Amino acid sequence: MRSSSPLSPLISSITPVAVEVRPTSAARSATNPAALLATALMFDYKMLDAGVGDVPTTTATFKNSGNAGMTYPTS
Amino acid sequence: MSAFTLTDALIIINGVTLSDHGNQVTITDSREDKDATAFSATSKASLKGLGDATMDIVLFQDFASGKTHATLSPLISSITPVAVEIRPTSAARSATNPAALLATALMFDYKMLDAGVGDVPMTTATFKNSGNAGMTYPTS
Repeated sequence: MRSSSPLSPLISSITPVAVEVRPTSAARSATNPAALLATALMFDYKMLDAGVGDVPTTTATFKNSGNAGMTYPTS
Repeated sequence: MSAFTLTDALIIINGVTLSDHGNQVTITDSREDKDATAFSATSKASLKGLGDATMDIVLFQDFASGKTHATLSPLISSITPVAVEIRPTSAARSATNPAALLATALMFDYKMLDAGVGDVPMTTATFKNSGNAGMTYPTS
């Protein structure tokens, strides 16, 4: 249930947030580039989507709100 | 990471607790994706539009008093919104057991029976928000 706290406020918010994914937890570098949505909005949130006995998971889909799109910073 | 197994979800429909008849829950809170891309842009820009909120609850059918049919069947002909609440566990609302609450929900579809020979009859109750409050996630 820990994942609920960061995500649930984002569905009702119209303020873009930054979302970053890196291949590893190491610092950004040429061999560990980030994928960065600097101004992202979340349009769909499923707090629960599971049957009895399942381990609930949720898919958070972020889209760019501004025109910057996706960038791949290495530093 | 504290992943967990969903074995004790709480389902309350119009004040009736039907957790022991529930089998699957899907809680969807969404916003329209509105294109806000202007000329000269190099990437599309999205803004949020109107919200929508639904709960799909799969229940074992039961015609006993106070159970599935008695709770759901009046709601299909009613135009009075009811409250529908789901929690990950039956414990009290808390930060680690937040409720998903449709305070003013309407049910738009009801299948009293949808099963073949030998099946355990189940019904899916789909609720949508009737008012502008949408879905909330109270923790107390």
